[in-house]
Amino acid sequence: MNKTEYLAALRQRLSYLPPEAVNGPIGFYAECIDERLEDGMTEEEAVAALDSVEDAARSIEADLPLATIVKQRVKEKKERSGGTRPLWIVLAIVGSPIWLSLLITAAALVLTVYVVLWAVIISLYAVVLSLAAAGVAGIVGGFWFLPAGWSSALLCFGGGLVCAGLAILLFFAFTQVARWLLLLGKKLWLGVKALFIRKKESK
Amino acid sequence: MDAQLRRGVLEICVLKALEKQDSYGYQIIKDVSPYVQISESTLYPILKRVCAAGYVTEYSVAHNGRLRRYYRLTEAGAARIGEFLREWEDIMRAYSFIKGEGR
Repeated sequence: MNKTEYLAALRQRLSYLPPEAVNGPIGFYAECIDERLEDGMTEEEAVAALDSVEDAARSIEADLPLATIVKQRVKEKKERSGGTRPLWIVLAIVGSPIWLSLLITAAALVLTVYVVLWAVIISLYAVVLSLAAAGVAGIVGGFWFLPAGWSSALLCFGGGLVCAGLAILLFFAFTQVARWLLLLGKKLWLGVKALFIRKKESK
Repeated sequence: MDAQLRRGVLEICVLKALEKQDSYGYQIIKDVSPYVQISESTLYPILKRVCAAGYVTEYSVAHNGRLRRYYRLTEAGAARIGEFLREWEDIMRAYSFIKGEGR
């Protein structure tokens, strides 16, 4: 396979996507082939050194926003079926109580997971903030209670120090937990996105 | 290697390849591949990501009758390398512990 054939095959594989989403990566592959040619390789060798068309296409797809993929897939299906047939419109309307409720449930489920993840993160930082506030209040209160007696002042001051110490320790621990939760959220999103990317066997 | 970890490490390798001088796609692959496996398919999304994050800027230069796209490391990109190295020290300590060193 030479340069023209490789780039044409890649463009054909991604033909369902808008040109602006494809031109950038295809230009990049073309440039890499040119660089290899300057390095003394033949076109066939340069192309053989690249990933297969399928792998390159999948990597480009994985990098696109979900909205672009969904929009293009809907458009592609519409074009393949020669426009929306009346039968499909009737079926969509008749079946709407089922598919619409399923769609709403799925969207609500994804949204709930995200809300829960963020709620956990916010709660963790709320704990840190409360402990920090209690720490400051305890330390200041320690001085405040000095006229009332050493024991109350020391108790208050000590409590404040414990809270401040916990706040500092938990801040770092919770920051790590928050990172993990955000990573989990990202993985879930990538999973949802993968459902819309064209499957290898469906080409 | 875990995919997420590999992506993160590759991103820093790409930034490191741009530390000494501006570079272009194929040269980056040649510089990084002796250390970590990398191809055009993995490099392109990484370059897009680091550009979007402000770690790298890009510009084109005429070369042999075509345009060659160069990438330049920004201050934020250099800071990201430093941040990664600091984070990695913690991981290396854990690694030593797991390997049973320093006991």
